[in-house]
Amino acid sequence: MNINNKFLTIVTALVIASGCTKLNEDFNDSINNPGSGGNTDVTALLNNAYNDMNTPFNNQDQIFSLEENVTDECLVPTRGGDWDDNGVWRVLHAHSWDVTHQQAQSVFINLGKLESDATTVLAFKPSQEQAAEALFLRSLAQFYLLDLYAQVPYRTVEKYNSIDAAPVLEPAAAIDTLVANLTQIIPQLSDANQPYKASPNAARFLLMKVLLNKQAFLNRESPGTADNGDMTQIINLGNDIINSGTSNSATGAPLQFTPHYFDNFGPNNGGADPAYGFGVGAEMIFAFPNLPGVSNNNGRNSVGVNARWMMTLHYNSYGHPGDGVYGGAGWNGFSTIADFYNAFDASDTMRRGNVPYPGVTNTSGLKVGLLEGQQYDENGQIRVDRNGNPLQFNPEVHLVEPDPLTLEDNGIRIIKYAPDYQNYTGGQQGNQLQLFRLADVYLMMAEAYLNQGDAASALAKVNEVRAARKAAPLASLSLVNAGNLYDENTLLAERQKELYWESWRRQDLIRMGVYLQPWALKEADDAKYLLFPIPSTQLIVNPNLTQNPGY
Amino acid sequence: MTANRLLKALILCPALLLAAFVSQAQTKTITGKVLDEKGNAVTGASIVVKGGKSGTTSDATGSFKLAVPTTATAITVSYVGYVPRDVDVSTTTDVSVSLSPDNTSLTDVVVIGYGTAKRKDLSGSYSTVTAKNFNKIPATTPDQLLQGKVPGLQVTVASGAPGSVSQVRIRGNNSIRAGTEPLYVVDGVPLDGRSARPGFSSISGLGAIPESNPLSYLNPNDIENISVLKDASASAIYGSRGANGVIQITTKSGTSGPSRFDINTSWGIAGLMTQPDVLDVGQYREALSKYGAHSDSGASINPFDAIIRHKLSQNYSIAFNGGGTERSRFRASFFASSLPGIIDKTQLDKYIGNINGSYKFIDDKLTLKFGLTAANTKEQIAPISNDPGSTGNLVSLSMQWNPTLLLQRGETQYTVNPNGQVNPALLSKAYNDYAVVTTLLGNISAGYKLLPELEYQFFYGVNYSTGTRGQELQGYITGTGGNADGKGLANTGSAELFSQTITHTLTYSKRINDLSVTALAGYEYYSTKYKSQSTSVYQFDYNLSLSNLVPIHYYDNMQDGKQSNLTTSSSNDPTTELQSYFGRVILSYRNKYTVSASIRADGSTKFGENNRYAYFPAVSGKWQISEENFMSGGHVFSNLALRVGWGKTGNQSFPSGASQDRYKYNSNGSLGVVNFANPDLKWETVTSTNGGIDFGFMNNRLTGTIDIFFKKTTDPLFPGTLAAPAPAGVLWQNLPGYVSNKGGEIGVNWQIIQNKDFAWSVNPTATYVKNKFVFPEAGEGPLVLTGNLNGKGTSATWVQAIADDQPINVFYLRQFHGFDKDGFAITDNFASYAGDPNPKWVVGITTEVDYKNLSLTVNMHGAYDFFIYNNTIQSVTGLSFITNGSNISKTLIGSPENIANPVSASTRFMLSGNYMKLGNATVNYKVGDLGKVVKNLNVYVTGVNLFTLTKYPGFDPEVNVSKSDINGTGIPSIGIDYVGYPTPRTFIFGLSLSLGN
Repeated sequence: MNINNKFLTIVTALVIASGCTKLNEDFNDSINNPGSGGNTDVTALLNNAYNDMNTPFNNQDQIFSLEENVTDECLVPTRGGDWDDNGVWRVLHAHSWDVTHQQAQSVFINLGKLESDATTVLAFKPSQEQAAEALFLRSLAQFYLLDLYAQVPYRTVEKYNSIDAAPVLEPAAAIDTLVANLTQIIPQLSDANQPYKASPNAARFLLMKVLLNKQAFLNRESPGTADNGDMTQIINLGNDIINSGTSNSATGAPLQFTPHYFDNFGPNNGGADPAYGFGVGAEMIFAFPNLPGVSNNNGRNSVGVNARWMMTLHYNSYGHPGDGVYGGAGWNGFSTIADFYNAFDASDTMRRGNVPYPGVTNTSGLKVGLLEGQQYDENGQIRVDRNGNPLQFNPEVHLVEPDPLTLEDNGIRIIKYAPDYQNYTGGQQGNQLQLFRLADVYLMMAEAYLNQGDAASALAKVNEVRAARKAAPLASLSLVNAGNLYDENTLLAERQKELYWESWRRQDLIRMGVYLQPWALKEADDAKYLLFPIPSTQLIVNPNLTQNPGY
Repeated sequence: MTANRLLKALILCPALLLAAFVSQAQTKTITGKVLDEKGNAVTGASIVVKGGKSGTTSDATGSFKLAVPTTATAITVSYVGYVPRDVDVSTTTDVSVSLSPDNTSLTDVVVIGYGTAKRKDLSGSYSTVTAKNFNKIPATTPDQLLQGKVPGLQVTVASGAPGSVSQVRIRGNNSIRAGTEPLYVVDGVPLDGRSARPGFSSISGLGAIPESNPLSYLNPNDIENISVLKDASASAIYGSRGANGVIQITTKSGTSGPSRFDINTSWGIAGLMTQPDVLDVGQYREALSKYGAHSDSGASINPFDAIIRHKLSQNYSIAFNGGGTERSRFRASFFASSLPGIIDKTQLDKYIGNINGSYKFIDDKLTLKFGLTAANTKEQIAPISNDPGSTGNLVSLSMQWNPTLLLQRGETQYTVNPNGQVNPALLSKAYNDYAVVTTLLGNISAGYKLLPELEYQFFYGVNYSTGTRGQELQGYITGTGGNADGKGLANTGSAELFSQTITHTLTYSKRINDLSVTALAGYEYYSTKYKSQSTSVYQFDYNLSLSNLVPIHYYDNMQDGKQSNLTTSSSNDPTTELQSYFGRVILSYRNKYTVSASIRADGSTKFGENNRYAYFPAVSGKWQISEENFMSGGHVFSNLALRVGWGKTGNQSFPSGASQDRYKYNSNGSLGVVNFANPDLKWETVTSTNGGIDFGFMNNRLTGTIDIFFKKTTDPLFPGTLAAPAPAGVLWQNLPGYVSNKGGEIGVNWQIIQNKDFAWSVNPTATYVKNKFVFPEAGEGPLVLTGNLNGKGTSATWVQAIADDQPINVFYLRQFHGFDKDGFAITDNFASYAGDPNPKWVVGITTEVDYKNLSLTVNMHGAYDFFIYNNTIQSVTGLSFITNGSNISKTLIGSPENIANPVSASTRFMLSGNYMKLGNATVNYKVGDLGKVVKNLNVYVTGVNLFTLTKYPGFDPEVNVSKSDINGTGIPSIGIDYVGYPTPRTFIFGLSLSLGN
């Protein structure tokens, strides 16, 4: 064999030998299957699903915005250089959004993520308790998809990792699924999970919401008459919660009304404050957890809850120009309309607020509640806006503020969550984000009684809430007054005063049939705004979805 | 696996190391001198006995000495770019040879994929730029050397920061996702395209610092030539990485002849090319009174004075040519440069060493080559991001700063702006950011001629890069927002990139009568890995006040950060492996008809399991009309050729791991899904068809090429929305639509005057591209929005779209119809497709005038028929901000706008970007030889970015800032201008010389 042939042989052998790569992908920092070792880390998968609640529930431009900015209790006026944001806020309040509305798209995706990650937990042999928590999270996502879009795409557990078009539940089927799943998990969940994880009371509360909104979910334009059996079930579930005796594990106190309304939202609402005794945040049934000063919380992410006050505070609402402390941190956006401010009766000052709050007002002069009029600093000196004029929150407000002199000041602001100044610049504040609260249980029960024609029992439930808020009892109660949304002898008005800016107002207005009525800065409008559009990107990838009528 | 394969392959090399034989014969010695058309000495010309292979090269004075057999009658003298000459030596032993330039460069040897070819044998579309035609700028990266030089090539240098990323597009924009850069191949080593400089997430409102150019480790003085492979016929041999074209960089190798040092040095000084588009202090005062704002603080300053500096840049390059022979030669070079940016505390320092060699053994049958580049780059970075929030970055803060308000009094007294704006001088002081990247690029090859016409070659190439970075924001600055505001923060990070290539090729070249055949068969294995880690902490104990400063950087002292505020993360991306088989045949008949065909099969770990291998064929042909008999004899054409080609190339620029189920642990004990499997995921395919004419008139004094091309990208990769319910992330998928790019290009080289003392040439190029995305299933609305605006009043505002029947990144905006009587903007209620950000015309022109020893070279480049979105005027210098004590854009003065008018996105801020820029101009004086040692001394002065002809208000219409899309999936945007690093205008003095004898 001559040298050339040897080389040819070597080369040929070499090319063949080196050509055997199977091209398997080495992942290095991730895994192909969480169950590959036989022991799946289900706890970690479940934590991942809980963390999916973070964005859609915490951010001011997610569920909060879609449920509140489309109603009469919230709007974000465009203020010169601020809050234009491509008109995204104005069209919500004016009911003139279209398919490109980014918040509507983003919420759909984020709820789908929560639903998907919860379904993934179910695919990896969870314990019964873990499966029940995952089912709760999946139900929570499906409830909001049903509420906002009336179409609920889902994955079966077997097809949890499919990337194909997902089947879609129509409202009736979605309601049946929610009722079945929530009923099933109530006995499987642990009481000790309250309030930061899925608990029996959280499941009961969500089931009450499903049953209460059932007729509206089936037909938003003209909801049918409430089913008597459903209403009885709501009353039973409500009683189960009230009588559960479970304590909110953070405080050790039993579930009960908090003596000071704004303590439900304050920096100490996650624990007992020696200054207040028991009961700080004792109304929590389900909340998103935040630990002051740290960014993680036993497997759950703790997030900055500060958007809840920054979104509404004026740039100069706290701190002092130039002192570098809390300076310039307000975003000067979210406001409410004068009609809502004026709806509170004289006895209802605890909930209307505009009152001092310990640890806050003495730090910056900021008060809590619906803020109207001149703002002061902690020394009682008046605050000024950036033009140097006195900072006075006017009830007058416009979708686009026209006057350079007042555009910073117009609109009543709402501080429900008092800023956690102790951890303010630390970024992680201690306010627990309230999702399900005891007072709503009473009001849902009252609505069920009203639907059954039992106005007396309903009035009694409402007056229990009012008594806790030190407001004068009502003499009579009806569901809604279509001629006056702020009629104080209606459940709709009472729900607004108790639950404003807690993301329930849109559901309430739709359920009571008054969502399409005109109110301040909104004309009577088209029925298509009862629903948000399905994102067009989702329509492309999932032919089982159909665009909602009118879009 | 890799190690084994490498071992097997390396066994070959020792086997090839056998003794060489040298033969002796009766000789005579020929001496002579080689001169160019102007009578100057030609160094490095090759002199061989005609028909033989032994030879020598001319030295620095053009002289040579060659021993030839006594029977030899002629020698052949050749030099790149000149017509080779045969010289009769039958009667003389002392000759003087004058070479004349070969204007067509048809004899040039062009580097093509996995080999070389003579230009006349090429039927594909290649453009090669050699070192002497590079832009004469102290380029930090090779792509800038080509700006405006190559038809079909668009280079956009988007930022004035030293070492910034430039965007390179060859014949349009093929893709709707990121990864539209061409494949770079340096001496046969395909580069990964990423940089090992660690990236950090944004510092609250300041935004995230953009990436740096991954090619900045190459020494521009080491580059011999750059070939741009533009059509599929040229680039299909690179298969699934060739769709965006290929840029092949060939570095200088040792020349035979006497040993020699080549020395280049330059010094430069820079300032702003364009003044900021804001009011000066006098105009600002007028505006204050006009709009009833009260922010006059009494002083008169230009805030840019505090952050702009003029610091000397320095470049030193020395190369040693080892004085070898044709059979044994090497070159070593060292480069050091310091390039300060015009913004304070920005700088790029580079140290680069290179050594390469080439040796022949066994009767020249065995060729061994090696090359090694080691580079260390140190970058100092300023807080100038592309995506600052309402806080702003260093540039936007300087634009906004009230020019009647002093920035500082004394060392420690910085003015706190009563309106809450961060003081840019203080920000500059408080921010420190250094990144160091070390890169090794090596290759070794062994070629053996099995038969005279058959050569086997083994090639191994490696590219290793590692980077570290430290970033801090000192605690004494407040108002930057976020957790760390007023507390101090630091980030440290490191990253590592390792890729290797193993190639085996067999090349067959034979001439059979009138037919020449060149065939190639090969196998290649390529793998690349990337991993990184970073640590971040905020809240430090020291440097919280300017009055007591400790000179220790936070990032050197992370343990002082509050440990409960410490976050750390690391990642190790899935390894990408490619396995490929390829082949190519070039047939040429009588130099008249040339046909070339190639095919490559690529297997990739990234592809879904249903699509493991991709196949990329290409064919092309050329008819050299001027060689035909009917063209002979005094025809106007000195060269005329017609080329046509067709082929497919691929793109696999999607993340590894995208085709499989993937789970990853996140913080706090959660295990999340990264993506679910898409077993059908594959490459996208660009099918291109093109035709071209090469022409030459007047004895090739006027030459050029005209090409038209039609490109269609099918199965475009799209990081799409998953069908909900779905986990986080995106679904990488191949859309059933396509992208088309149609256009043409022309490049002309005209030696208008060519005399001994005076010469003038012009070299214009122009490219026209029309880009469109077609995907009817997307409906009339946008498939996805991109081009996220930043700054005040622009949350969730996207101004560009990927939409059916529209150019990629079409502007999607509400039409602006002027102002109503109250000064509020009138706009449509809904957005519509408003304009194209992709330039339809990209042009360049180079002209050179030589008079005796003096030469002037001017390079200009421009782009026409496109739009830029001016996010700066909208969100930084908009009219309404004057009430907040901010400076505003000059362009707004005199408009009827009400200062309460919202800063809505609309076509009002979509502006024509047409421009022509004087990129660089050089005056060179050739001093010539000084004494016996200093040869070929040149001194020159260069001006870079001298001026731009444009109506666009802003630092520079050369804008390319990629902004995120609506789902954060990485779909790029084009042409959104938001407070980037301003373009510098630089003046450079330099000299170059050789030392030798």
